[in-house]
Amino acid sequence: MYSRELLKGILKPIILKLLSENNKMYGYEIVQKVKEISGDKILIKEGSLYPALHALTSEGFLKTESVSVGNRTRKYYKLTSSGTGQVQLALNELLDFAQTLKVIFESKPIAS
Amino acid sequence: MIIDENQVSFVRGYLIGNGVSNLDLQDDLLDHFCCTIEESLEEGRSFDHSFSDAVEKIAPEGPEKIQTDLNYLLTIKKNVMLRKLVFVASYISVLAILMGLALRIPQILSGDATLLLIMAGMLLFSVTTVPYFFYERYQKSIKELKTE
Repeated sequence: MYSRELLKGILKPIILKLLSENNKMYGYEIVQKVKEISGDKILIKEGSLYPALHALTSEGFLKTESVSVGNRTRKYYKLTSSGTGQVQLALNELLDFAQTLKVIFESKPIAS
Repeated sequence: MIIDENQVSFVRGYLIGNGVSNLDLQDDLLDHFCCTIEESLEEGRSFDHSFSDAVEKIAPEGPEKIQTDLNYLLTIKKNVMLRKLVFVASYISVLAILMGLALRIPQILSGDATLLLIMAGMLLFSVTTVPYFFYERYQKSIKELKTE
């Protein structure tokens, strides 16, 4: 399982990517889906997930749809049109970052 | 298995009682707690046991911490910008007052002009720095009151 610090910067791109592939999802579903896809390596903490979802909503990248489930309200998160445009930008930046990290950590020390 | 109305009310009461006042976040967390509890109930655990596990898993530092993090994330940009503006306005107002005084003594500027400069500085100071100072004090006192 990766540390919370490592996951901090990649949470928003993960959410955007998942929503681009699944149309609409609710919080619990997002946590379970990420856990499943990553083979239990990425466990999103609820304390990070909801602030990120609300921040993305306030930035205009997500919108919500409320549905009654039993006697409670379930909020589904969906991408807005500007959110759809943001997905590729966020993924490109993240993949580029991953590539740079690879270059840094795989570089061999110069022999003296 | 969907948990019953009393159990949902119990979870909602827990969230409200522990400082989750944001209604959107309340709906999110209530559903998340319910989903987690339902999964645990299906594995044969009691409601009390499932609820305790859900609290430990979802909000180990208390649900209010999630709301605090959310508020921070939503307001940080605005707060930084506001502070910048107040700092710049405070600097300009103090500069205007000091310049007014400094140029008045050697009579580089006329008495009216320096008076105008000092008054403009005082006016700017009183509509930016002073209200912000009291607003900050107010926020701090509310925070202290809540933690007592």
